[in-house]
Amino acid sequence: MQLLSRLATFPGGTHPPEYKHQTASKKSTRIPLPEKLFLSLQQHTGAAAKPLVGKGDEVLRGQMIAEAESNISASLHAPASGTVNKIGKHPLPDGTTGDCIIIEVDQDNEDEKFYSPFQKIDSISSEQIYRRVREAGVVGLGGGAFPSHVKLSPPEETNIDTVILNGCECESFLTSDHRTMLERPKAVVNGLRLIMKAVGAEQGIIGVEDNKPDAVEELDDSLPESENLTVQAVEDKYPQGVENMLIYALTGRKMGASLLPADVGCVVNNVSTAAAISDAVLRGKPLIERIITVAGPAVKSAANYTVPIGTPFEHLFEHCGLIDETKLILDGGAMMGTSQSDLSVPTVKATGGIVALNQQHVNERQEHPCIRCARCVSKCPQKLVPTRLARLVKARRYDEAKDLHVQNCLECGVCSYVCPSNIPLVHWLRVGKEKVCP
Amino acid sequence: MSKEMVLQTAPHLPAEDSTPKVMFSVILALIPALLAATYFFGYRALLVVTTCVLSAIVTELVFLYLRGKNLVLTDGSAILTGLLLGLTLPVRIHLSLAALGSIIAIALGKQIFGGLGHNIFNPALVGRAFLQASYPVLMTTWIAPLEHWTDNALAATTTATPLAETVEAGYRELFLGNIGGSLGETSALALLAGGLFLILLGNIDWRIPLSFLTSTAVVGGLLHLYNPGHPDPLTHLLSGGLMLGAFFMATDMVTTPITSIGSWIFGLGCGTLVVIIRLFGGQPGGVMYAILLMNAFTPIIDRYTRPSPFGEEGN
Repeated sequence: MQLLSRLATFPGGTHPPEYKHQTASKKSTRIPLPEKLFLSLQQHTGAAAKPLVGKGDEVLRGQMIAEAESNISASLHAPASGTVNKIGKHPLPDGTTGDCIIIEVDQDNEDEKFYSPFQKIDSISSEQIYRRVREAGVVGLGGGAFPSHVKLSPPEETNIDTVILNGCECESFLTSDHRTMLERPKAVVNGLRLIMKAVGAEQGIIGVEDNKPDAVEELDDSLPESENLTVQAVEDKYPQGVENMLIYALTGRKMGASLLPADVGCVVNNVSTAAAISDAVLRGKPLIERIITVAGPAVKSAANYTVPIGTPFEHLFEHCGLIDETKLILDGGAMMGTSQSDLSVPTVKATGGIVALNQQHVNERQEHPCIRCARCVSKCPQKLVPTRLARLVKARRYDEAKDLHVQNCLECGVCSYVCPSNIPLVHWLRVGKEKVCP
Repeated sequence: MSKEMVLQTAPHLPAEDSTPKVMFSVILALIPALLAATYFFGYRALLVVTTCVLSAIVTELVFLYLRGKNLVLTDGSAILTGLLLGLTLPVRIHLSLAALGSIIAIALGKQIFGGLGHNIFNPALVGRAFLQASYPVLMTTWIAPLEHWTDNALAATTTATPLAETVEAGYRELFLGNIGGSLGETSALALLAGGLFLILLGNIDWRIPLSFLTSTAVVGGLLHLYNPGHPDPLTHLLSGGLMLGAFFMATDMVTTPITSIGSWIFGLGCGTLVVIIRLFGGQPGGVMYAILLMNAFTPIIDRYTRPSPFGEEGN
């Protein structure tokens, strides 16, 4: 019951099984480099990056290989040294096929080409932070892959007073943010301070779901003595990690679907993004690798791995092992992940976890008619009426669906999950969104 | 690594609940009321209910066949409709009438609209309203409870239902069920137990019984103060089909609002209408008509209580 909970949260939502125990307590490790890395030119929100290298070029680890030409775009760097094999089409985890720079990895070359690190946070200007984050190709690692430098330069007329770091990781199976907070709390906190400095905010809050008390403690210990920086536990509830839900839980400010966090005085970044920003500024390291959770009942050695961007899924599974009964491979967790047919797809910057499931998770249950139980209505974090919207979209009454705000849907999947009739509600809402605002 | 992988849309977690589970939980919650009915009215109570359930199932199957649908009863809704209808009938009703009511409930109450999830009115109450309109005397001939344990069990003794004649039955009798009436209406205790079970499971919306019962007590109480000749609130609460209606009929998801404000309005409307019909109406069955009337308002309640999207409340 809502009344009994003392922790901050949002109205609605649900609590699917977490399945995090499999990987949460294991320290992240590395696996050998793959033979080839596939770097999509379009692995962020915005315009594709423009290649700076051509076939046969030698590249060093950390070297920029594609450049952001417009503001909303992100540069790419070679995650390992080697030779450009070609630039060509390759299947991607979002189900499309797109242009990739394919690098043949030179396993023995340990040279790297990083930027020169800044020494002290206090002596860096906000302009320097912005430029470094932009040239390092940092994007939101929580899944959105929105170029981070854009968030660091909010429009003039907005007044940002709070920077929020998102350490909720409410999605099932995934623990990569959790491991980042445990293993690199200083980098997370430094990232927070850099973002605050860049946007001129006075307050910084790290929101962590209360199922990760160890992360709360680690971060708390790493915070400098300052009243402006806090770690706050929020209720362990899905989808707590969605931007506007977290802003509401931590500040009480309501961000409608047509607004940006800046409109309510906030900037929100994922904890792993903060660590990447810290790496870019204080270590000169571009975004070339990240922690990825490989988990699920079909994985033999589930754990978190530090993986170069562009690593093929099949390479990960060669090392982690898949059982014969594997039925589903997801880019992401079980609530929002995209199922994959081709395991040659590479990880992208936004890939935080890969989940392998067996027959138990294949949805072959019968779909029953809607009995108007209203669970989707009471649980929808955006306070939409999914059952009605699904019906309108099925009937191709898109104008009416628009009037009922189908475009506000977060695609979190709560409606489908709680539906006792097994109606793929979020699927229909996605179709509706596509029709209403293509 | 060349295995065939399944492609499916997210989420990939099995739902925590299913429609058949919801239906069967309601059926389970009605078992105490059914046992109480059997205790107070004898085995014929079981016979009546079984007749209703069986004819509901047969009618459902016939309609599914005619509509070219899968002949599956896995959703359990037809069984539930039969059971609910049976519990609203008097024990001495002729079995053919029980069967007829059940056929009408499924056919006109549900399948005509397109089956489960599409009906406007509570199917069991449609069946019951049909019987009451067509056979008013038979439907309101009650026998005194526990009569069946004595030798003259077959001599139907007619007693009035409490509210029809405002018989001064003790609250205790009303609460436990030792009072004449329809099968499932007698024991408020058994219905309360089943209702609370469903609320704890989260399978019915607690707002509806709460606002239904509260508004009955308040409106009934005000009218009692105005004219002490009217029954007092507790008698209102414990008699007739109120408990059965409030916990099991007014909470039928298909025919009640989907918003929480809508649920409050729905319960409030039911409670007010019950008292008005009971005190000023011409025939018994206040609960039934109150719920059916409010069922008709459900679409409009839904329309005007639709929630504003998160963060856009003012717009």
